[in-house]
Amino acid sequence: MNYVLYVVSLVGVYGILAVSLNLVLGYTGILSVAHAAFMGIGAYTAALLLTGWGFNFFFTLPVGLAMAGLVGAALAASTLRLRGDYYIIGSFGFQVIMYNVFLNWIDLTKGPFGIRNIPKPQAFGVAFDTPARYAALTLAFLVVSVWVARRVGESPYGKVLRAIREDEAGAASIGKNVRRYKISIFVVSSMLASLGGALYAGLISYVDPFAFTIHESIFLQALVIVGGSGNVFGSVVGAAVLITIPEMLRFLDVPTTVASPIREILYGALMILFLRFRPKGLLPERVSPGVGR
Amino acid sequence: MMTREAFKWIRPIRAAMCGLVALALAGMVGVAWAQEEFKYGAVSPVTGPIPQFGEYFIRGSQLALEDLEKTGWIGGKKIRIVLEDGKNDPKVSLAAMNKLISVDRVPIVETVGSSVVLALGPVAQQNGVILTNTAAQNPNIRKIGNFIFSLVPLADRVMQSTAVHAVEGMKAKTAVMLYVNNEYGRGVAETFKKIFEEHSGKIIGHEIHAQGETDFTTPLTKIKFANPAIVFFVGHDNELGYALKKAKQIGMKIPWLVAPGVFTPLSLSIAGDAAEGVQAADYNFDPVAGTERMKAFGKRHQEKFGVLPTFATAHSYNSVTLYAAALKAGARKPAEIRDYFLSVKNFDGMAGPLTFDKEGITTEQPVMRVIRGGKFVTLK
Amino acid sequence: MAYWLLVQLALNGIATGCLYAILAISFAVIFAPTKTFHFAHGSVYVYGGYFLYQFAMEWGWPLPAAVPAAVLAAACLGVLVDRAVYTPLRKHGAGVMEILLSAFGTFIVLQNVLLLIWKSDPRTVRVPEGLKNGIPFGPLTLTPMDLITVVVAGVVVAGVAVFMRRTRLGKAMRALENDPEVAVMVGISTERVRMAAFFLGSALVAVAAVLTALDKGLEPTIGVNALLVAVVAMIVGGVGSFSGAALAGLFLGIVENLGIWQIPSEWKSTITFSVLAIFILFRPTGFFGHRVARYSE
Repeated sequence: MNYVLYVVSLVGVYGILAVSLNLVLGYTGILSVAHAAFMGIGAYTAALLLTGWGFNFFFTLPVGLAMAGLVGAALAASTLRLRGDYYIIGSFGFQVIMYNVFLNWIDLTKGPFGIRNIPKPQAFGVAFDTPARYAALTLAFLVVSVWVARRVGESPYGKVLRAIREDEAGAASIGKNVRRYKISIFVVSSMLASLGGALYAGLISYVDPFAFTIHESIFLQALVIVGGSGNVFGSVVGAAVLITIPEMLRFLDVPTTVASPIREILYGALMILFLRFRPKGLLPERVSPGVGR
Repeated sequence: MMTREAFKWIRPIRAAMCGLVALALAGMVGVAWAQEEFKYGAVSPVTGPIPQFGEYFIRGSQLALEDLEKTGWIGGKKIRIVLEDGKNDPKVSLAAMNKLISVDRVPIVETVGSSVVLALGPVAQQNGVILTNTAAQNPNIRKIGNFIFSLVPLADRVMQSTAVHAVEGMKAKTAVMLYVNNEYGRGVAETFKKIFEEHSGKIIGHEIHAQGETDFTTPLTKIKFANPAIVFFVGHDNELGYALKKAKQIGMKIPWLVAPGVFTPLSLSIAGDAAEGVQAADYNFDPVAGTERMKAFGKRHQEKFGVLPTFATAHSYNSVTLYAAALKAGARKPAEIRDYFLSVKNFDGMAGPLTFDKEGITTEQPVMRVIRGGKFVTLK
Repeated sequence: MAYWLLVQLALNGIATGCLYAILAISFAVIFAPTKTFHFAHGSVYVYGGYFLYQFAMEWGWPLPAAVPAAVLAAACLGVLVDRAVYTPLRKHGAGVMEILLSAFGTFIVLQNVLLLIWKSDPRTVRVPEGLKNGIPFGPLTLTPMDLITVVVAGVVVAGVAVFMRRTRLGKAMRALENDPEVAVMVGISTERVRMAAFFLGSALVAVAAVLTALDKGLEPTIGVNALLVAVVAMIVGGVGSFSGAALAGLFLGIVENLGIWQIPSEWKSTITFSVLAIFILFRPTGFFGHRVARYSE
C-alpha cells in the first residue's frame, strides 16, 4: 500500500508540472523545453533551504516561486521576441545552461553529489512523513494548482492566450499586447513548475542535477500532449496515465535491462501517435464551435 | 481536422487506459501478498554508466544460487533474488528501494556505488532492513548505522597503505589525482590527499572526469604538462581502461597508481598493453593466482561467462552465501540476520576469510599489485 | 613550460573543432532547406557510431567496408524518420510546434531502442595498429585520428560547398531554403529535395560519429551534446551559411579547449553554452547570417 501511495504522490507532482507546462504549451502555443529547469529551481531552492538553513518547507515555497518567476520572466523577455525556431533554440540553450549550473556550481548545489536527506515537510506539529500524508499533501497542492490554472485558462485572459496561439498577428491587430500576455503566462507557468519541483524534492528526499535534463522536459511535454493540451484536467490524466501504466511493467516478468527503455519508448511513441492521430489528447480542450485546429 | 466520427474511437481508448491504470495499482498491492520464498533484494546499476557492475552482481549471485541448489536450500524454501535497476543514480535507486521494502518486503538488499549506498543507507536503517555493500568505499558509509554492512574496507583505512606505498614504494613526492565525479571518487581522492600530504607528499593538481567517460584527452593533456611524479586514479574499471589507453597515445610516461577495487580484467581488456607497469591497490580476491578456491571460482566463471570474475563478483557471491548461512542458523528478521553477520568470524567467503568489525565493515586489508606482461602480480 | 600546454590545447582544439564543423554542417544541411528542427538528429549520430561498431566489431567487417555501410545505414535512418514521422504530420496539417514535439518524441524512442539493442556499456571500435599511437613533436603530440579528422572535415566542407553551388540538387536545396514558394513554382520537387537533405545531413553526421567512435569510444548518451554543439555552431555561424557553420564549429572547438587552460576541465561544455548565450543575446544573426530567417508560424 505504501508503494501505491508513493506512486499517487508522484502522479500529484507530475500533475502539477504538466498543468504548468500546459498553460504555455497548450493554451498559449509556446513550446518550452526548459520546464525541467524550472522544476529544478524549485527543487534545489527547497532542498537547500531545508537542509542548509532549516527553513520550514512551506516557507521555502514563496522563495522558490519567486526565483522561478524572476528567471522565467527574464527568459521570456529575452527569447520570446525571437522568431519561431530561434525561440526554440533559446529555450533549449536555457535548459542546458541551467543543467550545467546545477551540475557544476558545486559550492551552491553540491553538483553531481546531490543534496541528501531532505526532511519531510511539517506544519503546526503535523509532519508529512508517511506515504499517506505526503500523498494527501501533494494531492492538496494539485487541487490548488488545477484550480488556479482553470481560473487563468478559462477566464477572458485565457481566451486571449488561445487567440495568441491560433493567430498571433490577429490578436495583436485587435490591440492586445501579445508580449505582455506571453511573459505573464510564462511567469505563472514557471512558478507552478517550481512548486512541482519543491514537492518532488520532498517526496524523493534527494536532489541531483540528473533529474532536470532535457529528457525530463520532453517527458513533461508528453504528459501534456497525451493528456490533452488546452485542458487542465487533461494534464492530470496525462500524468496518471504515463506514470502508472509503465509501472505495470515491473510486475510482468520483464527483465530489468529491458524494463526502463521500454517504459521510455512507451511514452515517446504515445507522444508521436497522439500528435499524429489525436493532437487534442485524451481530454480535449473545450472550444466554442468554429475554432478549428 | 477532427470530425465527429473520429471522436467515437477515443472512448474505448480512454476506457482501456483507465483499465490499465487500475490494473497497475492493483498489481502493486497484489505482489505484496506472495511470500513463498526467502527473498534477497538487490539494487544494481544494470543500465546506466557502469552496467558492468550490474553484470558482476548478476553473475556472482547466480553462481551462489547454483551452489546453494547443490548443498540444499533452507527448509526446502528457495532464495529468490529480486533485482531492481538503480542505474547508479540515487533517486532511481531510492524508488527501487522503496518498492523492494514496501512491495516485496525483502529483509536484505545488496547494492553498490558510494552515492547509492549513502542515499539508500538511511532508508535501510530507518526501516530496519539490512543493506550490504559490495564495492563502495566512501568513508561516510561508516556512519550510517548498524544495519549497513560493507564487504570491502572503506577508503579511510585503505588509503593509509596506498598513500604510504606512493611515498615509500613509488618514491613519489608529487601527484596529480584523476578521479570520477561522484561520492566514491571524491571520498577516496580526498582521503588519499590527506594521507599523502601527511607523509610530505604534495598534490599538485587534480582532474575530474564523468562517470562512464571514454574521452580523457583534456584531463590527461593537462596532467602530462603538469608533470607529477605519479598519477593517482580513482574511478570505475571501464574509465580506467580508456584513460590508460589515451595516456599511452599522447605519449605520457608518468607512472600510474590506482585506487583499490578499480583495476579489473575489464580495464585490462580495454587498455591492452597501455596497462603495463601500472600499480594498483587491490583486494585479496585473485581468480588467477589466489587460493585454490578462488582459482576454481575463476575457472568456473570463465567457462560459464567467458571472462574472469572481479572482486565485486566474489563479494556478491559472498553476500548471498552469508544470507543463506544466516537463514540456516535460524535468523529470519533483519535484526537477527544483522546479529548473525556480526557474530561471524573468518567466514569462508570467496574472497578469503571474512569478518566484520563492530561497525559492520570487513577487516580485510588491501594488497598492492602491478601489471606485468598483462597479468596482475602481487607485490610483497 | 606552461605555454607548450597552451599550444597542445590549441592543437586539440583544432581537431575537436573540425569534428564540430562536420556536426554543424550536417545539421545545417537539413535545417536550411526544410526548416525542420530535427532534434532526433542527435540520435541518428549515435546510431551512426553504433552501426559502425556493429558492422566492424560484431560482424567483423573490415573498416573500409564497415565505414561506408554505417554512413549509408545512418543516412537511411534519417530519411526514415522524416518519412515516418515528420512528413505524415506535415501532410496532416501539423504546425511547426507539433513537428518539433514529434522530433522530441522520436529522439526518445530512438535512444531507447538503441539501449535495447546495444545496452548501455561504452563501446569501442578497434583502430588499425598504425593509427593507434600519437606522433610526438617534442613536448607536443598529434594523434593520427586528429589528422584524419582535420582532413575529413576539409573534404566535407569543400564537398558540401561544391555540391551546393554546382549540382542541380544542391541548387534546388538552396532555392528551397531561400524562397520555398518560388522553388515550387519553378518545378522543384520539394519531396525529393527534402529526402536528399535528410539523406545528406544524416550521412554527414554519421561521418562525425565514425570519427568519434574510432577516436574516443561510444556511449548512448553522446547524442544530446553533439546536437547541442551542432545547433550552437549553426547559430553562431549564422543560419543559412554552411561555411559559417563550419567556421563556428572550429571556433567552438578551439575556444572550449583553450578555455580549460585555466578553468577546470569539467566546465568545458558550459563554455559552449555561454558562447551560445552571448550570441543569442547580442548577435542572433551569427558570424555570417545576413538576415534573421523568415519562418511562417
